[in-house]
Formats: sequence, C-alpha cells, structure tokens
Amino acid sequence: MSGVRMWGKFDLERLTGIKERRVCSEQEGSYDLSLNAALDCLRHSRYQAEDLEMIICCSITKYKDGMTYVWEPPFSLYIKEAIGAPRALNFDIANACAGMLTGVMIMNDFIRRGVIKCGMVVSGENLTSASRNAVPRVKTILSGQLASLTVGDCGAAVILERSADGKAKLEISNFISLAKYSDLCIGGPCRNAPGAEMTTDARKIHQVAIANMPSITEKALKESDLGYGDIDHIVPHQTSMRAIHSGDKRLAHHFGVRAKNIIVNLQEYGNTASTTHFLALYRYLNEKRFKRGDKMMLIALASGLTVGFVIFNMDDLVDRYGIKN
Amino acid sequence: MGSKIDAVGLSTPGFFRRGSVDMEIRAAKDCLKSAQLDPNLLGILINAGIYRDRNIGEPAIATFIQRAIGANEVFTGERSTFSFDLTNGGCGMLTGVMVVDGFLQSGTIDHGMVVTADTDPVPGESLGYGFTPAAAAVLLSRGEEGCGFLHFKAETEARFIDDMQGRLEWRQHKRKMGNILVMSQAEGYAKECAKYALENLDAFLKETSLKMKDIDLIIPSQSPAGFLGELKKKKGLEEKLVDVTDKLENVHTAGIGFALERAMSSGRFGAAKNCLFLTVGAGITVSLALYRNLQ
Repeated sequence: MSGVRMWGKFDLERLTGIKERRVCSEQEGSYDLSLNAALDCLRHSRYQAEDLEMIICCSITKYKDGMTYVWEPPFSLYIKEAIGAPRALNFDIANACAGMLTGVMIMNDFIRRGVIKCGMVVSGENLTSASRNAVPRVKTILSGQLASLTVGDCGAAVILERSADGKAKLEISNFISLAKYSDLCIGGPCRNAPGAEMTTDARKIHQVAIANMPSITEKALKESDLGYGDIDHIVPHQTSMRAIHSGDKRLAHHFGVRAKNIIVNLQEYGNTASTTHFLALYRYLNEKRFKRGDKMMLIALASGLTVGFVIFNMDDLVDRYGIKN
Repeated sequence: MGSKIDAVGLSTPGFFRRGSVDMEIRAAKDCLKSAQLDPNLLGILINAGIYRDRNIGEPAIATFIQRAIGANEVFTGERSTFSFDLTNGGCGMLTGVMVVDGFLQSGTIDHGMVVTADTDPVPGESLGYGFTPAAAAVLLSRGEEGCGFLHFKAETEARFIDDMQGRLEWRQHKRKMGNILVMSQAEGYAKECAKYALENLDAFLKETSLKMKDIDLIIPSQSPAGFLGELKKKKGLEEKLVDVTDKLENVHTAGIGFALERAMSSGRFGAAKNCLFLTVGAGITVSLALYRNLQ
C-alpha cells in the first residue's frame, strides 16, 4: 500500500479498519489455498476424503500454477483428485463474495432431499493481484479501484452432513439477487498486468445495501421463525468497518434491539471475498468463543447484488477446534 | 416426480450484438416468450457458460441476464429471483439442470432457468479458441409423477484432466503482454470422450434398469469436434443421436440446447418416451440424465 499516491490526506487503515492482511507467496494460487483448506477441514471432521459425495468450488479467483486462471477443466475436479474423493460429484459455482454461501445453499438442498449424505464446499481466493494492480490507479478517495486495496488472500472449506436425527439444522433463507445493481462491482483479468482488476462503486453498493437489508433480513428471520434478538452471533460479509457499523446501526434501529454479537475479523484479514464467513467462524472456533446451542447467522452481501442468509445452531463443532486440538 | 422442460430458447450472434451476455439475454427472452412465462416467476437463474465477454469473473453473469429479462431486479418483499454461475466444462448446462431440478423437487422454487453461451472473450486475443458462438436457455418447472427428469449421473476420469484446457495466461501476444485465453486439446481427446461416455452410458442403463432399445432419443454434447462421429460408430446409436453439426459445428456448453430444440421442433422429442441426455466435458467429465415424456 506504500505505493499508493493519492491527492490529499489518505489513511486506508482509518477508512476501512483493516490493519493487516494475508498474502499468498508467489508460488501459491487459489488452488493451493483451496487444497490446504480442504485438507484442514477433513482433519477437523469425522470424514475421510473418500466419504465425500459432492465437492463444490466457489472461488471468484481460479489461479493455478502461479497466476494462470483456469476456466476448464472445473477447479473442483483438481481438488477432488488432489484430496482423493473419487465418489464426489463435482462442479464449480461463482457468485462473487456470496460464492461459498451459495455453495452451501445448493449442497443443503441435495442433503435435505437425501441425494447425498455429506459433501464439501471449498474456496481459495488469491486476490492480492487485484490489490497490487489497483495501487498505481488509485489517485483519489473516489477511485473505482479503492475497494481493491482492501482484499486479502484466504482459503476456506466446510463439510456439510446430513444430521443424525434427519432433522434440518441449517436454515437457508432469502437468497436474492437484486440484479438492478449488477454493474456496481465488476472484476476480471487486468488489461496490462498479471492477475485481476476490480472496479467498484462502493458508495452506491453501501446505499443499496443499507436501504434493502432491514426488510430482507426481516423476511429471512420471519421464514426461520426467529427474532433479531434471538441471534447470538452474526457474521456479515467483511467489507469495511464503517459499512459493518452502519449496517449494524440500521438493523438495530429497524428491529428495536441491538445485535448480541457481530463478528468482525476485518482488522486482521481484510476482505477475503467468498471465504470471509468461514474464516471468521474458523477463528472464533479456534479461540473457543462459541458454545453449543449458539444461534448463528451468516449474511452474504456480494456483487450482483446478492443477499442471502444461513442460520444454524452451533453444535459439537465447538469440540473439534481450539487449543485441545 | 421429475422436472419438465417448458421451453428452449436459442441464439447466435447478431450483426451488432455479438457478445455472450447479449446472446444469453436473447435466448432467455426467447425461452420465456415460448413458455409465455412472466420473468418475475423465475426462482432461480443459472448461467452455465464458460467463455464470456472480457472473461468477467465478478459478478455472476446470471445477474446481468436477470436484469435484462426483468426478473425481480429489486426487492419487493414478495417474489424474488436468485442468480449465480455454474461451470462444469461441456457438462455445465446439464449440471445446471440437475441443480434446478433439485430446487424444484424440494419445492423451493416453481420455475427455474439455465442459460448458457460461449464466445471468444476478447476476439483477436486468444489462442486456439475454436467454439462456435452460440447461446441456449432451458426453462424448467415441476412435472407430473413418473415423467420429466428422473435420474442424473456424473462421473469423471481424471487420467485425461490435462487433455482439454482453457486458461488465461499472462504472455506475449501480437507484440504485447496480456492475459490471453489459451485453449489446448490433446489429439485423441474426442475419441477418449466417446469411449468414456459409452462406458458410463452402459452403467447408467444398468442403474435405471433400462436397455438400449428402451432409449428412443439421445441429446448429446455437440463438442468436442469428432465426438459425435465416434459415438455413431457404436451400432444402433446413430439413429437415436440428435446431431446439429450440419448447421452449427462445435457448439460448446449450449450444444445440448441446440440438439434439444432440433428434436423438439422435428417432433422427435415429443414422440420419444425415454430421452437420454449425454454430455461430455473437460476432465473428462461425463454427465447423463434420463428424461421421460408423458405418453
């Protein structure tokens, strides 16, 4: 970030709340991040790779062998082969920063219908190139590539399974695309450098999100027969501290009650795109900050403009992470 | 109870609007018009195309289509549409159909659409791209008991994982550096695809307790080039296969859409009791589905 040359005073840390980020080494790509996350996820589970019946890869970035972006074959096939999951049905999905939660939504449908018993949703986001490519272009605080400076690299994987008693434990609610705003954030390969570039109208996205989130959240909670105050931990998409705080205030005003806990890990990791929710869960699980029975709500907010909610009760997952392990 | 096909829409490049998204929008609108369905009734919209305008990675291309066809672009509190992209090589469209079928079966949605298109992302800035630009859309809804899509199967044979690749590489092209789409296909890839498809066809028939004579029609992938020719070598298969390569060669993910439309317009699809979808893609991936028509 030291290379950013802007007019006027500019304090990215103060503006976004991000103090540090994780950056891939030159040899690592989305593939390595996904693979390592998949293997780590299996280690924390009661499953072997060969038990998996489905693998969905959900990353926006699909870099392998350095900065080579893979369109075909599907990224999920590389992961399937690397971890050794021959039974798994595999395909890729992409839905910007809502990718992993979209994957969870799809897999949940297969599990609930009894088509599969367990599967893995995985993502590896190697976004540093977007940040690096934005550095020479960001000249003012209104730059369309300013949001690219906030991204960080991360891999995440989650295994979903059919509950032992057959009762649904995962509430998937209100996945909506507000497509009128689909052109507010557009990312693709950079024109004159390796990797990606992304142009975002962050201000407009924020306005649309703030205007729509209360009513969409209310509908989602109603469908799950819950009140806003029933949620113990909310994991929002990690964009900027200001956006999260103003969203928190707006929802508190709408529901007349403050959120019990909003999980924010932006300071240490930045915006890690589709992996943010599971990175936050991973960290809190390792720090033993959840207890059994806690009501969790993961909120997707992504380019598109996509909104979605995944609600569940924390279970024995809390015993498989942390200092003891 | 399987999902039934309500309509199919197709599109090829126009004089001015030649991009993948433009083609998909036209195919989607054509599909909705054929079914006379209000776009606001679409619960899910999936884009299964791979090679898209300017190689856009974010947002989901499906959201552009959703906006253009006017399907719940804003939140009204009542109905909503959810859009995302799904890729699985040449099998993407059928995999998308499988996902939509699931949401229809579970009652999550009443109507879903899979749209796909492939085109040279930045014409003149790719190496080895040879697919014919084309788009297809298929509209699905819940069918009656015992008909519609009844069974899906997908298998991969990763010995051939490097045999067909589409990658963006940072390299020199026409005296300047850029993120260039590089396509490569190994010699004999089409033959291996056909071989693996036939192996899985046999396994699929066993799983569904059907014999080859019970299959009235096969809607196959129209790529890679040479794949259909290899399939036709199998005795008794040629007359069941729908081949559109006489008019449009080497259509990638939209190939089954074109084959389906040809079969529907000729009356072959309606007359067939058991219709088999047989797709192949990079990996090698083979995806199959059984569709039963109400007789």
